[in-house]
Amino acid sequence: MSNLSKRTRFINICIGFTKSMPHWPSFLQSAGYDLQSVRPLLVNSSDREVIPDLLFGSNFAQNVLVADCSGEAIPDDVFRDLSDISPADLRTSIENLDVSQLSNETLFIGDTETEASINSNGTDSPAIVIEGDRYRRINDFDDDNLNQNISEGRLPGMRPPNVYHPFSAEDGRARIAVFLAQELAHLAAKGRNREVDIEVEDLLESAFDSWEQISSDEQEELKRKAEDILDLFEQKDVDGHMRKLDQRKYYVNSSKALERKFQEVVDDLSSDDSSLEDFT
Amino acid sequence: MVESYDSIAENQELDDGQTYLKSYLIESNRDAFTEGTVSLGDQQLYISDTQERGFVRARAQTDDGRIYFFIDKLNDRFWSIHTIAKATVSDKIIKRIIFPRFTELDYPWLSNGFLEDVGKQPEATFRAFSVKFEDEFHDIMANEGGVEGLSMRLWGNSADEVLDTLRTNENISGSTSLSNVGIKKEYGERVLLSDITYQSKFTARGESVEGHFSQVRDVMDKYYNILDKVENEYSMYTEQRGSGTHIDGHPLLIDFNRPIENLREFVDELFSSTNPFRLWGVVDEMEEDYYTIAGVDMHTGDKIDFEVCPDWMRIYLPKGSCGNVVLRLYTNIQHYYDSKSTLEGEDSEQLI
Repeated sequence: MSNLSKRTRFINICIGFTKSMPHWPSFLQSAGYDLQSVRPLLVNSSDREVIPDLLFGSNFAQNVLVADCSGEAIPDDVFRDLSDISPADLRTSIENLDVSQLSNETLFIGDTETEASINSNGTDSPAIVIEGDRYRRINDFDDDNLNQNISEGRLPGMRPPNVYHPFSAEDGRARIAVFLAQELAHLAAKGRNREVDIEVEDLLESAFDSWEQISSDEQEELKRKAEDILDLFEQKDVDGHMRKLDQRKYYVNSSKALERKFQEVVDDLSSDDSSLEDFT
Repeated sequence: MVESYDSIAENQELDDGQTYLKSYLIESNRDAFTEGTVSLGDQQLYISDTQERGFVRARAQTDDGRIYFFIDKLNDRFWSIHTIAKATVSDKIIKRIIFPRFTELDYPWLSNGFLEDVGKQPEATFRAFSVKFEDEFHDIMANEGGVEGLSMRLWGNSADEVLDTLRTNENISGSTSLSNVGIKKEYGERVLLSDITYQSKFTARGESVEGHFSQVRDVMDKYYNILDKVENEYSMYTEQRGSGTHIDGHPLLIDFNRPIENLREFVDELFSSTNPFRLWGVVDEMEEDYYTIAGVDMHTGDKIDFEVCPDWMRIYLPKGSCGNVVLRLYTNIQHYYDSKSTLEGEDSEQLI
């Protein structure tokens, strides 16, 4: 039913843990942690590039959690790359923390597949395992505040936030189409004469805050999916509200008719079970 | 004038040719006017300057002839449009100015709690109120036995007491949305009787024009405080931090007292660009009875996101988007779905 990849889902779940938001627990905030960065590109102490999903920091504990939210089976080289991150490697991606005093630890967030990887690898890094509406911690944090705030329990109603990080390259086309449609409607409304010419890459940059940070492979994947989605939007439109100008450029004008077509494309893609498998 | 207020209150009619001063408070994201013909929404106005800066005269041609307005630019976000034209005519023109797509003009939407506070302000006598509720979602909700609509007006010094009594009635308490309040207030030796609607229209009867303008400004100031809080304390923003992205801000919440049945149909209706909600969005089903909506505010073209389940709605307003959309949605939810819904912020703080 959901068009979200596991990574996007767990990233949003975890960001929610740092917010005093209605109908969602704030474990990390209660333990003194705030969100520092989403998908930062780091170079670890072994000179390898690594992009963890999230960084959380505690000024009180002078500790940073380096979080992996893939939710999939985790390869051994990912365990190694994450464990080779030192406080100095975080310098440019954090604020209000003293790097000279800082410690860091890896946190995994996922489901039973993540748990199986952790057991198989033998790491003693902590993890939050979420199954249905229940969560539990495996292994202990170095910061005992976190152990006291996160143990096990039920997540209320399991209605997690999901728009902090609205989509990623791993998501199905239906999910990405939702936010591209919104961006097109927004840009056309704000454009001179309520119309806009837009390149695929500019559209993605505008709709996706982490565009500049993600790897070139992820950018290419998103561009490929976006082109596919925009072609579907254009094919659905029969009144000239959207036209393909060249390989990667489109004209859109603001119209109620086109806005209705956007939803039709999203619904078509959502009912297409193969959308994730075909394009990931 | 005071006598004629009592007369209209009792008889609901004016003497021939008699009209009152009306002021429409308008939330604006537009620049100031220049002289000449301007199009506001579907209405053309001929603008001419006055000697006072920020205060222009506007002429509109209608089927009933020419009518005149004075537009007072109170500050960067609010105008007050004054007229003595017939209410039926001026109301229609104001709607034509506001409601087309992307006009960047809107009413300040006064929710139940806000309007009740205006009515019950300690320096004034709360002497009248109207309740108007229309269950716009009745067909979707299979609202058998529920209130489909409620419209009533009460005059007299027991307004306060009667309103409280209505609110305690289990069958109708969720349909008691205030559509206007009538207050009597003294300014020195002058008396002013005012009707203030939930769409921020002020009708003055009495002896104090300055008192009337003062009331408009008071409501604007209180409304602006809430709007400012929505836009600055509850908006979401992202910034580049090193090689990553930092996200800050908190969503707002509308908590429904009346759970939504047939949620998908409710959401499709709500986000279909229709007035008064003025919201469009693409709906993404996350799981049964839980949807994300990537929306656009049809009054400005700004983006806004939602997560909706039968019991509540989270609202994510991006930094820079106009926050009036939140107050419009909340107030109209109260008028067309559930008058007991509440607007909450961080740690369940009630905003209004």
